[in-house]
Amino acid sequence: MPTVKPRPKPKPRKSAPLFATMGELLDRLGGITPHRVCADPPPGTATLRDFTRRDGRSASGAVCELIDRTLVEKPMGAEEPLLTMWIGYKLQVYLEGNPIGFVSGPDYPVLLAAGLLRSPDVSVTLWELRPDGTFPTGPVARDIPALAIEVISPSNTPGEMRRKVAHYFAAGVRVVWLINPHKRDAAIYTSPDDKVLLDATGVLTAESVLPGFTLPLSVVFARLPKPAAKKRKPKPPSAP
Amino acid sequence: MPQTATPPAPTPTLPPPFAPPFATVGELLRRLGDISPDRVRASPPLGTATEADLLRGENEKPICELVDGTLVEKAMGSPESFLAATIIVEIGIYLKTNRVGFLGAPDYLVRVSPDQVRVPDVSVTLWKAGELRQVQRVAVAVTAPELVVEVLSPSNTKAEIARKLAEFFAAGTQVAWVVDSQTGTAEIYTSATDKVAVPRDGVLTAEAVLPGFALPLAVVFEEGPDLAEPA
Repeated sequence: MPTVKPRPKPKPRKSAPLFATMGELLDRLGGITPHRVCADPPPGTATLRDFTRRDGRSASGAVCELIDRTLVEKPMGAEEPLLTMWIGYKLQVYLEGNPIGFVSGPDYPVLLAAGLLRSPDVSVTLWELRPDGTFPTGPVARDIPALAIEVISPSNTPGEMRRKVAHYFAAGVRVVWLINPHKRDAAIYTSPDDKVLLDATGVLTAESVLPGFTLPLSVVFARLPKPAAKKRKPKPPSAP
Repeated sequence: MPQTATPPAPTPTLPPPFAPPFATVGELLRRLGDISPDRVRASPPLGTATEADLLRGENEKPICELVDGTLVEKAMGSPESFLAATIIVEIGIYLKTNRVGFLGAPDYLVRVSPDQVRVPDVSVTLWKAGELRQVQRVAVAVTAPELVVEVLSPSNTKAEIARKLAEFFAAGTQVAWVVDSQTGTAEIYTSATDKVAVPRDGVLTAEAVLPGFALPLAVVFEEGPDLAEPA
């Protein structure tokens, strides 16, 4: 009788460390504050399992992304979630008439590549990826959105957003919007290097994903209070 | 057959969950005294490093301390090295005639508490009465030196040094000198909070440890090469 040899156990792969010091890690993450970098699991050791075991949240309850084997908190703020829902609503209205995809909210982790989880603030995934017409289930989504939208917080850094945009396009995202409510502007990326900058009068579009869809930034920012006037030092009373 | 009570199954002993005393890297940096993240080693993973990791060859340079389960590189520079050497020479001359203890160079590792290893730039450990005058043949000394000298580098922070001194004093250190390589001044600590400022023309003393020893700061800073910044 032939003996069936048990398959040898795979040796644990010892992957080379991505960074030698915390300084190098913070550089890779785009110069973000170390207060957004979770220490548990230790940076450089976090896995998809660590992420799902914690429901994608840090000890303080913030939504996390998994980058460089490290859990990194997404910044929190008041106006960003409000804008996020508002934009999601506008997209939803469009998709009611053009049922080509579905909208997701800000704590929707998408597996962009092995060990890389990003949570776009809003995203649209096309139904062509899910021919059965059902929502993805499970701890993380594996269908790459066609449109990813980020509402920028003050603690987001330019380097961080550059890398995030690059990650989206490398995974197959077609259009990325970066919306900055604090500067009242936005950028439409159609590749990591091709972007159109919009000022407060600009109009958001994503022709290759949502034909005919338009969303003026004046509508997006309509409910934001007027930016506080810069505090000026009271002029010293001039001598008579 | 009579029923015999089955002994309760032994509860499995699990290793304690990994629980670093900090939730984010920012909190760790704050605990370390707001030092540069460039000095915080990523490997072994934060919060999990041990003395064995500290002593492994790959961690030799720059010298690391073991703080909060993390390897933290010591701030080093050639002016600080030179100043430490000058102080060692002067204390060494004193110890030749007053054989009260032994010197530690800037790679003398001291365990200040379990799994917390600090590395003073210069140290003097006194011989204890009734003990053989032998230096322990161990990689990490377990007795705190009575005198500890820190030569500040530009990348050292005040909070970092304050925590380090507090740990030394808690472990039994009696006197600490903090020499500032940039201003040419120093501070003499006799506890974690009691300190005396030493001006540029002042004198370093440690009566409780080295009776009669006096080292003018001018000697420390003026003998030897010019410490001016390279052009």
